[in-house]
Amino acid sequence: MRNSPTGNSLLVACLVGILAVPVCASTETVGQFPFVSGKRIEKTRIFTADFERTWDAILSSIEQDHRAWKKLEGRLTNRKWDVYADKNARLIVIHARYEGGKSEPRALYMTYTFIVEPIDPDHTRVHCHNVSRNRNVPPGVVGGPYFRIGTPAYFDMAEKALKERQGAR
Amino acid sequence: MPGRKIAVTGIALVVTILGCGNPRVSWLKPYYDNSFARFQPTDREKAKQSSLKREYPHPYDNVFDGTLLILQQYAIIGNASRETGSISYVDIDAILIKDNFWNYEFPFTVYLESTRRGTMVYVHPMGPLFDGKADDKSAIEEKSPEIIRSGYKQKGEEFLERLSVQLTTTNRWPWLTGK
Repeated sequence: MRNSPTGNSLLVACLVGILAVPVCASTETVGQFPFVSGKRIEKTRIFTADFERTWDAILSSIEQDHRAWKKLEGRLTNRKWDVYADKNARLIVIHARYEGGKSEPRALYMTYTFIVEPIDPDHTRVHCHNVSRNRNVPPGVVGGPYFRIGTPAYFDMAEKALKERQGAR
Repeated sequence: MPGRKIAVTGIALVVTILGCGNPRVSWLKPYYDNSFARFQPTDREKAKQSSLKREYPHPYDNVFDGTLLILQQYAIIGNASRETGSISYVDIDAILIKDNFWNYEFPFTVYLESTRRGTMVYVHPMGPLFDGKADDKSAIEEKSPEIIRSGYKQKGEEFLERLSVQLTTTNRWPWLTGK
C-alpha cells in the first residue's frame, strides 16, 4: 500500500466525494427544481369558479389528502399536520411533520402555501409552493418527491371537487 | 509509517464527518413542533423601529398580496393578517456571507402601513439577538453574532428588493405575470 498510486487515488477520490456531498446538497436551494421529466412543475392554476367555491375546493382537496394519509398509517410514523387558513388574507398553509418511515426517512418538516386570488366572478387563480426542512440536509434544501407531485395533485383534487359540485347542482 | 498515516487520516475523516453532520438545535424547534401556532409577530411599534423598511407607491392590498406571493416561494409563513398588516415568517433559504455559504433560519415580522404615497413596509428580524436576550446561547452563533446580524440585514433587504420587482413587474408588464 506504501506509495501505491492506486491507493492514493482512492484516498483522493474518497475525500473529493465526501467533500462534494455537502457542497452539492447546499446548492440545491428552494425553487431550483422547476422541471420533472422535462415538464415544468405547475405552481399556478386558474380555476373556472368564483373565489368562494375555489377556496372551498382547495380546502376539500387538502381534507381528502389528509384522509388518504390516514390510510397509509404504518408506512410513516408519528405523522402530524396542521392547516392554517385565513380567508381574508386568502392564505392557506399546510404544516406537515414526519418522523422516521422508510419511504421518506429524511423528511422532518414541510409546508405547502396556497394563495387564492380572485380574477373575476368566474375565475380564480391559485398559487401553490412547497418548502421543506429536513433533518439530514441543511434547512432550505428541497427533499423528497412531494415537492414534485404535491402541487398538481392538490390542483387536480380541487378541480375534481369543483366538477363534482357543479355536477351535483 | 503508513499505518500511522492511515490512522490519522481516518480519525480526521471521522471528525470531519461527525462535525459536519452534528445537528444544531434551532431555537425555532418548538415552533416547528407545534406548526407555528404560537409564532406571534413582533409588537408593531417595535417593528417600526427597524432600519429595514421601504415605501412602495402601490395600494395596501397590492403590497399585501405581493408580499405573500413572494414569501410563499421561499419562506414558511406562520401567520398573516390583512387587518393588522402583519405577516410573520421564517426565511430558510441559504445565504452567502463573506465567501461562506450558510444555511440558516431567519425569522422576520413584516408590517404594512398605508401612507399618503402608497404603502410602507417594515421588516423586523425576530429572535433573541434582536430582543435583547443574547445570553440565550442556543439562539445565536456564539462566536459570530455580527455575521448573523449581517445575514438578517441581507435577507431583509433581499425581501424588500424582491417585493419591489414583483410590484413593478405586475404594474408595468401585467402580461408577464399572467394578470
